[in-house]
Amino acid sequence: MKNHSCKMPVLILLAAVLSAAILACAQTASMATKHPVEVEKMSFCSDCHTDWRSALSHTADYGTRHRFYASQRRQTCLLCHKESFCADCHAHKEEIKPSDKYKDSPEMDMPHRGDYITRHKIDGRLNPASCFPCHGRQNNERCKVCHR
Amino acid sequence: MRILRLALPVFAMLLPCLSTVASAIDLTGQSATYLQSRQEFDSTRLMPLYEYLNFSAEDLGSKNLSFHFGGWYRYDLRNESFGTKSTGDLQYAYLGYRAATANAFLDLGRVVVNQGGAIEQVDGASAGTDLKYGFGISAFGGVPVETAFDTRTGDSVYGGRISHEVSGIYSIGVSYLRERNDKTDFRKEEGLDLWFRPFDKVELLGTTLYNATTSAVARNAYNLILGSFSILTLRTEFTQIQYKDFFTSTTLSAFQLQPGGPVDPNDKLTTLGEEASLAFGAVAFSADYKKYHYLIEGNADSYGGRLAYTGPSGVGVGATAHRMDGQTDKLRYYEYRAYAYKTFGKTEVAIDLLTVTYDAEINGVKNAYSASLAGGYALTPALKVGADIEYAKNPFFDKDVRGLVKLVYNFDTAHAAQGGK
Repeated sequence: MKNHSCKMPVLILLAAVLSAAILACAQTASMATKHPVEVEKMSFCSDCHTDWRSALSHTADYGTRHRFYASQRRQTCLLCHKESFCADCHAHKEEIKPSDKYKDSPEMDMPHRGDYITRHKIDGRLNPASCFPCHGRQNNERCKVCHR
Repeated sequence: MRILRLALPVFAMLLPCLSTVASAIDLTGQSATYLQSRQEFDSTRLMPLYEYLNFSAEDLGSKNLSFHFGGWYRYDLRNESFGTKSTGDLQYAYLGYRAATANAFLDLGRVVVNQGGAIEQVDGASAGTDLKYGFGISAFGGVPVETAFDTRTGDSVYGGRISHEVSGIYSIGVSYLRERNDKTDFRKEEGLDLWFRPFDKVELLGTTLYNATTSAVARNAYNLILGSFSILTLRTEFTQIQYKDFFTSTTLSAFQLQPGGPVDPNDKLTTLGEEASLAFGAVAFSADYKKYHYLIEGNADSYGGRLAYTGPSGVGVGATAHRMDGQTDKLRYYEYRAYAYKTFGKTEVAIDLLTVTYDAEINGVKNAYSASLAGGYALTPALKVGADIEYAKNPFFDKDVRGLVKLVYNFDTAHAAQGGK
């Protein structure tokens, strides 16, 4: 009963916030779900856009910072990319390395090329936090073969 | 899993028939079948057969309604990979609603959540909308999709994000996440995400993660991007990670840091890096340097560069060189890579060479290398067959030969151009 009495104010607050959110919804048109022009090659948004969207150009370093954009603007990513594109690397459970699936696309920036089993001992020691986002709570069944 | 086992192969076989139906119901997607040949450390030869299937069905009675599916299934034709003859995974499967106004959305099913500091996979719901005056709100909840270490009974995860944005100038959000395992707290996190572009050619972006269980900042990760100035773009990277607050909830023993272990749980890592990128038309060059500073361990560095040429009509070459310079010889190596690819009509060929030189021998090996050759042929605009072979020598294999054959069918020929390759 005590638990219920604690949860009630929270539920009421959530309902109030939700109601306020609905009432306060912006009436602006939603962004398109697909890019109006098909993007065929590596995307250089700055070729067409001169405003803030030019920052989304997929330059050589884009792979290292794409997570920041995705965390705020997922719908923008989905303008050009299918969900499966993200799932190739960001998986709950995966057995084939992306670099093994796409050996015919060596120009793509992909992690763990070649014998990464050996190198991960070094990279993981120097910066274990770099492994954690992908393997900390998921996609680590292969890791468990050794890390029991 | 049983559903996946039955549904994926059947659906893959039906795909050619569905292509005509696809135009009626706006179905786009891809079936990719891979047959891999590789060997285990004990020389056991494995031949896993994989079927990856993804599709999106849009305009389901309404332009706002869609369904998205991605999953894979593996069956071993010879021996057992990772201790099982067969397995699979449901990557995502959700019904999505997109409103015509306010970017409002509702996803139901196995959804991918990207809400500021909360980046999760959830069996449940994710929703959000723009509000007036630049504000935005989103929330999610359900059962976490993570590596199981016990049952999913009593497991839950929920959270949300409130944001404010001035278009083209900044976007800032605060997020909250709470995860429970067996009805007890497993994770409580708060996040701050920032994108700030005060002037043209100046951009600051990053996140701060606060561990509400240990009441401490677990990680700061920020990038400052300057440019591009004609051909030059500069990126400065700063991260700070407090190990004891960052590695607090994991499903893998490697991250359960113990005092006296190879990584001290009381250590704190600060990295500061710089990357300069130059673009001369089809030629791109970049150089990078990163300093690793530890509270307890000694310092480390990594640095390198890469050069790439992307020519017209499907031709390209590239090369990279990197040095990882850790505290001891055991934590140092050089990595060099060179690749080239070319498309001849319906045929494409790619070659990739990678070599790693370790400062200290590992299993008696200092120089490791791998060489791969890949080829593909477009049987039709929608159907492509490909194969590759890789030869390698490394600390675990004197001679490692592995191969892969694949058949890729796109329901929609535009798919490949949209990131599906």
